Amino acid sequence: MGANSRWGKWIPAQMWVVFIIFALFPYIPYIGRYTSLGTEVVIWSLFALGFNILLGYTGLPSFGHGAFFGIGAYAAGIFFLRVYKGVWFPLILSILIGGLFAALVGLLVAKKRGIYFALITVAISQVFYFIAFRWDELTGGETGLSGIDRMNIGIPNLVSLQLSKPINYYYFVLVIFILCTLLIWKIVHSPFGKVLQAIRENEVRAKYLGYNTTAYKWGAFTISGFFAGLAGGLYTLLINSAFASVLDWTQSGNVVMMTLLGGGTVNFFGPILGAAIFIVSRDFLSAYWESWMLIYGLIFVFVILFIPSGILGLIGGKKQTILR
Amino acid sequence: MAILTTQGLTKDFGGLRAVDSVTLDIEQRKLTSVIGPNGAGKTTLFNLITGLIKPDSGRIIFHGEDITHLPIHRIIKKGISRSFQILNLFNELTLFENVWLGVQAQQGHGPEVFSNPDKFTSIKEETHRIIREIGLLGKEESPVKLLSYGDRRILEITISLTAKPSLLLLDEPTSGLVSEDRKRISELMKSLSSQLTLIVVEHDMDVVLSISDHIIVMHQGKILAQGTPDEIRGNEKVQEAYLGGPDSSV
Repeated sequence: MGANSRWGKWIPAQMWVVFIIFALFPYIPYIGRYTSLGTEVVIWSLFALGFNILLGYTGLPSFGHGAFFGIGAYAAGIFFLRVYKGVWFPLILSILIGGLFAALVGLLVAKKRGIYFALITVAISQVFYFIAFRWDELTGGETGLSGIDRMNIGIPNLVSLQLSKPINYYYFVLVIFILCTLLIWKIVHSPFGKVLQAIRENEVRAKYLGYNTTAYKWGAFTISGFFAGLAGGLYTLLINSAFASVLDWTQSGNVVMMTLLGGGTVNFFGPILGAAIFIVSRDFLSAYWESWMLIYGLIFVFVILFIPSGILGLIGGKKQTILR
Repeated sequence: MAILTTQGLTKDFGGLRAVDSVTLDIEQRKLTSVIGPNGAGKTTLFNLITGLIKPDSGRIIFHGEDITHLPIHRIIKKGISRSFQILNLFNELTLFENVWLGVQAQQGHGPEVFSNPDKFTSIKEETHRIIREIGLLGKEESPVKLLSYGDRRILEITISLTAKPSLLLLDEPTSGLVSEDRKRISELMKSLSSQLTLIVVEHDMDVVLSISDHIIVMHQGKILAQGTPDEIRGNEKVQEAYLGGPDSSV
């Protein structure tokens, strides 16, 4: 019966392709120019994939998710510098704090829709930016936090992985990314994930089926906040520091662009492609021209005008439901 | 006995009083039709009863309980459901997914974040049973937007039934249909009326007079008259306001 394969396999073929490409990434000439670029691609892919639960699946355009990325980044940094020098605990904290703030903001925005939703998320993220910028004592203000080293992980006296080596950190991030990708795949294909898509298609009808759509929207907002926070924490460990710029509104805009560019509204993997294109092309273009954003902006405008469902929407050839 | 009662239900839109102190009783297991010219307040009445908009004054009592201020999803859980005049489906999703979502809500599995939907054989079986019942087997995988208008009309009613309501409100269920499909839907309504309470907004007077137990005539937000089909047929006030004078052939 067709219904058996409807929800997709645990690990679909495309996912293997993504994982294998990422596993080989550091060895691909030109693209893998230096390891930390690859690490950045993976971190942003994670951020965008989690964000797409909200944008692509629920249809809620948050222009403020950079805030939860930034809060996660600071949470990891502050915890590392003040409480405990390690890897796992700062990262766990970045997940929890990112998710907690998303849950709180979610309470304010879950009843909103469309442009109101977008504007409120922008405004709230700006509030966080200014708090980070001004609260010298906690966040280091303008100078930010630095000296957040990557400690070794492993089992004491037995195995130890030196994360300070970029290549090791790359694979560490990749493992986390793979786990999160499987988790997000599971979430969007769950009964909960289906309700999110119903809300995207027709919120009023979803209510009339008996779903408390406000609660579901809040849930989607919060879950995407967990992943944003984790991505932020990983980013702090990547650059060994945290600055207020991670909370800047452009971060929020970037993740929206990545998700749309790659085709997140029609394809689960869209955000990954979008993140890869964004980060790699930024790296290339910025080496040649400091106004590289202009080119990127033009590409983005072109995509939105002519292939509104994004690059993978073009390859797919038709608008498909995300349930497949 | 009355399953639903409204008391002095009133709703203003700007200066317009769309529903004007409507007090009515809906009898259990009866099919009540609400008729009236465009703008009489029929759809607004539906929107009030099902919680899409809140009244400026008045109360709604369902099974003896005041539901006036409940949110929509709570009202649905109490046993009221509705279909819409303008098709209101999940257009990009498939027929199967549309029905599935309704069954899943009814069975209370929506909040499960990590479950695999494949495991919910009860949802799957129920979804298939419903699709078979409405005669749309083989079209499960079509996105709803590609189904024929008649099929979508059927689906509109079907997914409002997935909530297993005891009271179902149908807003112009035959609008825009060719006569063959009209017949299909009025037969469906007739068979439903033996199992649950129905309130139907309908323009087709042949349908109304043939299927209704009780008819409520609305005019400018108020109840103009109510009674059995025969009483309404003979009512002069109704004929003047709505049916087009005493000489009309209805």
